[in-house]
Amino acid sequence: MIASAILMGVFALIGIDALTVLGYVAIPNIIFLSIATTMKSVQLSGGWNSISQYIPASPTTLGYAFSIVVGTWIFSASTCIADIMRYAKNTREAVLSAGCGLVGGNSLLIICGAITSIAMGDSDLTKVLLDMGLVIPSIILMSTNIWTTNAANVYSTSLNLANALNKGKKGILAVVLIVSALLTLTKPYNIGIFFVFLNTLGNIVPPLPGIIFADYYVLKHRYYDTSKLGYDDWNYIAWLSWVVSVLLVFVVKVGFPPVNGILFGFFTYLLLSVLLKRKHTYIQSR
Amino acid sequence: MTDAKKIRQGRLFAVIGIFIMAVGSFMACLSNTGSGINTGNILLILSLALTTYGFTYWRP
Repeated sequence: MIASAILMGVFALIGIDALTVLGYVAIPNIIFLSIATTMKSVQLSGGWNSISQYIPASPTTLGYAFSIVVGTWIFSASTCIADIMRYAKNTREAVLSAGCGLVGGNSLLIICGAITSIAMGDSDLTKVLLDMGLVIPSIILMSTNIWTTNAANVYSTSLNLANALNKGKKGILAVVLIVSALLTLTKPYNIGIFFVFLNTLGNIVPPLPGIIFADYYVLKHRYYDTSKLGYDDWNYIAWLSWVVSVLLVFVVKVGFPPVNGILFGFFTYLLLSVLLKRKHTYIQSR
Repeated sequence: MTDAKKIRQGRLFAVIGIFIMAVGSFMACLSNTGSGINTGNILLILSLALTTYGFTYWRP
């Protein structure tokens, strides 16, 4: 697993060209194999009736399901969309491709995985595919699926950390790869641990866009003076708002946690900015 | 080989590769015979090579 983490990181090291070729090769592959394995699993389970009449052994709440789905979006590199879309020709193409990929493509693959798991009675997709005798398709599907996600995540993480810390991208990438390789020892292939990870992501990440919305749309009135941006004056109010928002998400059990997170982040940041009145969170009066 | 020729060749390889990928995927997963499954697997692996080469030179 450590070797595969490093191998996937090589694509991030090469850059956007390698990620582009990887995407063009992997995505049609993933789509065809996902649809084909879904059809096979339905065939083996005796038809669509068994799928439509499925009743889970231990149902979860809608809020938990919401967090898991948002967690899969965060995990599958939606947070690094901007790093890829900066290469788009114009805003329209950026929005269209991001929307098609996240809403259309991601949803299709999740639905295919869900149907296969329901049909075969096991949520571990790799095990299900191997049990169906689909060894080569399983290896190709899982490898391309994880490869595209990991390469994009490593690329985006190293790019953002390099900018935030004002360091060289290659050095940061090496550190990110080492940390990623060590994290593979926590057994991420264990489906139970993976769901805990997704749920955690779905709870702790959503406050961040809420904070950004508040800062950009309310406090800065959609204008950032890039000549004054620097890395020696971190906005501690944003960090504090994030911590408070995450705590609120875990405490408040009403509604959907990811939506609550965005709202808590938005209002907490505004409230703390007004109360603490830091110079770099001034509110322009009109 | 000129750049334009490489791009044309890349496009041809990519398109043929995608087609073979589709055929191979459904053969490998849905075939009921061993020979059909093996043929599908071979086509899948072949398609990966073709599309990798094709998209290296051509971008849609």
